[in-house]
Amino acid sequence: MALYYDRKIMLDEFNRPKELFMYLPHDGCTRNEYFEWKAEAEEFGHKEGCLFYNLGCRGPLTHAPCNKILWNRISSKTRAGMPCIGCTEFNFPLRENYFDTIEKYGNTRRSAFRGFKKDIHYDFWSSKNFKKRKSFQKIRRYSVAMAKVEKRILNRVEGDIELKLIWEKGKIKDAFIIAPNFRGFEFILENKPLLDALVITPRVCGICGHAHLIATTNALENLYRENGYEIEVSQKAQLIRNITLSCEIIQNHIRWFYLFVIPDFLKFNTDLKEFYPIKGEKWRKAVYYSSKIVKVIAIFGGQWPHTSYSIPGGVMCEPTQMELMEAISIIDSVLEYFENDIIGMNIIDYLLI
Amino acid sequence: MKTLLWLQGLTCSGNTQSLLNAENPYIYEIFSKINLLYHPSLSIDNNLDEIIDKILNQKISLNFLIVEGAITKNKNFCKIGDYSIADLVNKLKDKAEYIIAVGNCAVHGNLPANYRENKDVCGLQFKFEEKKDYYLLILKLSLDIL
Repeated sequence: MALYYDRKIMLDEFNRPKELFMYLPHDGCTRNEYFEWKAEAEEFGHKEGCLFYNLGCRGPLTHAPCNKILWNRISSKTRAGMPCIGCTEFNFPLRENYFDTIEKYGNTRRSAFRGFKKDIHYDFWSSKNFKKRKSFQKIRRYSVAMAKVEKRILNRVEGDIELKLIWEKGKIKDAFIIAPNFRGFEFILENKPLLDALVITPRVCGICGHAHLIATTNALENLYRENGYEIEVSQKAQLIRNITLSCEIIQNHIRWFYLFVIPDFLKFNTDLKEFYPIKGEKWRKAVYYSSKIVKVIAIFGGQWPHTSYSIPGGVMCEPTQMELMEAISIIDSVLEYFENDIIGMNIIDYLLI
Repeated sequence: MKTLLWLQGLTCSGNTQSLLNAENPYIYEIFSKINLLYHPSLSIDNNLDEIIDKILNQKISLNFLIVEGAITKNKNFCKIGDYSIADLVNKLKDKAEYIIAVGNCAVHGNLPANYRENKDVCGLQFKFEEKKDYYLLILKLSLDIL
């Protein structure tokens, strides 16, 4: 927007805007005093203590304004209780052991499951086996013969998708949705320390990243249990996980309907003016409330998308009464929107149908 | 009215979601001032090809080109219509007044660049810390929202 008004923007050596990247997440961190006095946090889930010495916080080594300009003025990772993982730095994907400070490398977490190295899907995708599979050959045959691409670019979510239709005697015989984007997360995860999956997997998707986080946490907990570790998740942690996951699902539903589905119907019915992207009143309201509900995730997890605040055994946050009240009031206002604008009736009556 | 074109490479759409979450200005306030030519998630029509032709023939001027996600030449990994994301960026880079890379993927390559099988994944100007000017001689601005 500054460029729109022809303002000048100062850049740093990485060509990033200086006024944002001159800060460290350490500046403005509420745990600064603990850093000064080396009051260390030994485990996750406390409001007090510095996360730098034991838990791998990169706040003093990363350039980002996270603690100066909070995520939508709500919270930041370190305020919620999650150590900074340095996700704005160039070396972010090159590092390992995000939740350990360097001196602590090589502890049990890393060596516990040496045998668990390869992803089970590896054999499926590796070239020889994959090409032998019949279904793959079938797809290839189709795509070589009589394929007629009906639509090249289907927009909406995560890169552009193609629709391929196989025609036979004027009828559609088979149809394929082709997603030509491949990032290889399965392979990136190979041989990484176990807990790094909590940081890497949510980045599969910016829309449903939190669901990936919860799934990863559950998978890791199962893995620990199968290997003889006792893991108990407290009721508080389980409740917080359920609340944040539900909030993301609500956000997904509102955006799915108003932003991704309805625009395609506008081509057939031009009367639906209030649903038009950007101009339409209902579209604007949907964006407003779907953005509002994810603030609940930010209260518990620091930010949305791509927080990693849920770990095997619990969550990293310790919400105060005030934060809980804020979350409740956000949920109430979104509930009101749901009653008035989506179902048009009281929620209790709706559930009794 | 200034114009904006949003392209997605190897991405998780996280920056688009962050844009939808933006407050003061809200997304609809931004795009009531700036003409959004095409955005993969927000546009009604799938007319990217037409818009690119118009820009190349100088029928419409392009003020802001925003790139989200990592860049690759390999069409097996990222394909938009008939082009790879690198082709599109190469075509448009001389036409745009400002080119803005949003997110760590578009700036440094991030996790997609960590995938060993496809070596040419990188950001617009950097692959991790190496500056190689892969696609742009002078990157006018790169901005990290997340």
